Amino acid sequence: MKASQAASQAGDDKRGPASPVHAAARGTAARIGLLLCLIYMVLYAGFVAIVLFRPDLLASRPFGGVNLAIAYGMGLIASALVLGLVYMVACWLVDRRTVDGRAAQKTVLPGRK
Amino acid sequence: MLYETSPAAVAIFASFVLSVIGLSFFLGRKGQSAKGYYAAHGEIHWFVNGIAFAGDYLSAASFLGICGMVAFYGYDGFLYSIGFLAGWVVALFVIAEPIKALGKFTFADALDSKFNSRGIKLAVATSTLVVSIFYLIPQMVGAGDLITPLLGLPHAAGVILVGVAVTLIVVTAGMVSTTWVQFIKGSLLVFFCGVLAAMILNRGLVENTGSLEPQVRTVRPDGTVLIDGQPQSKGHDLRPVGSIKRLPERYGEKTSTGPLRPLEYLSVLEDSTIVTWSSKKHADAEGVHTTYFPVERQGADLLKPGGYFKGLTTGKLADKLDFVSLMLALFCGTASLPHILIRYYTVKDQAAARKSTVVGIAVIGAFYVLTLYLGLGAMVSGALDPTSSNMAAPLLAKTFSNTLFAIISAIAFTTVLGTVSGLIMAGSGAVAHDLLENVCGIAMTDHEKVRYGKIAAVGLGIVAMALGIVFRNFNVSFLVGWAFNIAASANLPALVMLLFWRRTTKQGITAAVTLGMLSSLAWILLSADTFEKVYGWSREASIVPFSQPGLVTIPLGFLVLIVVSLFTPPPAEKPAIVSSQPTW
Repeated sequence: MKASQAASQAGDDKRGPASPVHAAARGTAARIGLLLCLIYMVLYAGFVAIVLFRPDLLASRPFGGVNLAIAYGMGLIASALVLGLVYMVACWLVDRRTVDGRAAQKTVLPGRK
Repeated sequence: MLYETSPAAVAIFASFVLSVIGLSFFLGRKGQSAKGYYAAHGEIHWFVNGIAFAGDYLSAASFLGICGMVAFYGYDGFLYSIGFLAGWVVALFVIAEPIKALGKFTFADALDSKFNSRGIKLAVATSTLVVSIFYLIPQMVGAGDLITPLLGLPHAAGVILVGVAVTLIVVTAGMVSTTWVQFIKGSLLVFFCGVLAAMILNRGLVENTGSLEPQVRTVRPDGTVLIDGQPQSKGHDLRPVGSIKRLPERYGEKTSTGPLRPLEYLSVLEDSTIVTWSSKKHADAEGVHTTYFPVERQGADLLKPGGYFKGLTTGKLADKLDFVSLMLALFCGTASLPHILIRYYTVKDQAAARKSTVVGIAVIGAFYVLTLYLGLGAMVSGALDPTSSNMAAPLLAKTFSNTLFAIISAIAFTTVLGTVSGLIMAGSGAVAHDLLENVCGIAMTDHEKVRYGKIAAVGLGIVAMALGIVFRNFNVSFLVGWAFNIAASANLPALVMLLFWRRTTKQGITAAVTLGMLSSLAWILLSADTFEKVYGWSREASIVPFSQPGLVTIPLGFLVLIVVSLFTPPPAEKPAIVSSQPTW
């Protein structure tokens, strides 16, 4: 993959030759993926926490129609898809920029320090 | 309840099976390479692979089990849906691309890519086989249990039919035909669930004034069945149950809402009064009596958690931990299931692996939303069999038309084919590629790799049929939960640490996989659920504090890996063996 290849080279500059195993985890796209995964984990843990500690909230109807239990559950399913699409677009952007050359590496992307 | 055989359902199912087997022979007519058999040449289009993920993942437990759980207990079935889908986020963001980049045919390839260690291959192949077989047993037993009410054939016929069909599918063209079967099944399943959900919304909610008299089913010592004291027959059977007693006040005297929008359907249901049925058992000299009695409940109570997971309402810490543990195992388990992981080798590159996972999430997510509607629709359809939650979705379809019943029954049954073929494929790779070739060191030509793979598939097919018949009278539904827990505890820590911690050693991985597998299995065998449902002992005798192991054994897997890695020599920094990947 071009993005990972470029990321692997970027890694080489700082730390010497790295195995592809770590390059696979270190690439820009992979870092964005981890950030998105973290966002989802917070949402998921929030749901589990409400079920456990504030079950009374689940019957409330914050948005009028359906209760929080249904809204949060459907929201989790929808957010998995939305985060997935965000990730796909982010990877596509990373790929496209790396084609243009190493300079693209310096471009700040969401989730990249 | 007794069911009438539906010739239409048998015909639809038979034509489906014959066409997929025909397709398999068509796909398998060319000579095959090992890459073709194990990984479909890596040429499956990402979109097809995405739908095939759904076909692979959505087992009979997902379809019939979740619909039934929602129909009988309300919201809690949806909790499983949420957990089952959440696992795909881990698959997409953490697992998909590295697995594709590092492996060749199996999960063991990926975990071992850096080390070339026989210990890792042996441990991972064993965990793959254990997880696959635990997953396989409920599928096969389910095939036998479902065939009687759905198609009117005896239990063994269902098991053998599935076993033979799947073995033929796998042996003719390996991963190629498996992929297409799963693609077709996934599309049909989601499409017809969508049709059924649309019909539910179009019908809206209807007050039902059926009889609310309790019903008694007695099984006499000689095996005959009495209903309310009279022998059971087609004319004298349990009444179907599940109804709306009162619609919300805003509907006044009206007994039907007419067509409803999706969210409106849920909010009207929340404001309605619903009658669900519970049961209690007692035995005397005459036989075992089960009394089914109506319970009037508010929709708002049914649409929040706690109906099935009683522990959520007791306030006991152990019950809460049990729930957290389950949600954690579902979250971590999906991305560690071997039959899901091997699907990543069928696509061209990492970008395709990523895109197909997003397609999978879209399809599977849509399916879980639909099953919520199917389950709730069945709950108030007045058509439920009080003795069997598995029949909720097909019986709901029957309230619309017999044709739809035939289609849903046939699809429910074909659901088993897609999942079982994926499991047999994963097992075949573990036996032939990992154990025979890599662990035992048997040198194989490309042609022999395919031949051994096919022999392993036939062997596994026979084992699957035998297990499906042997475990017939056991409660096997919870084995899927075991498989998730073992996969999450054995495979996930090793994979994550390999990717994110340079100091990981081969001994660390071997120890984590082995201990993760053994500890989660031991915990399950000692748990209160297993004591009660499998051994028939008292729950109190159990020595572990809660039933789901994940909360303890997943962190244990990480801990073991870290400790063992720190006490063993660090791996040499050399490029991994990924030469099979031209994209690197």
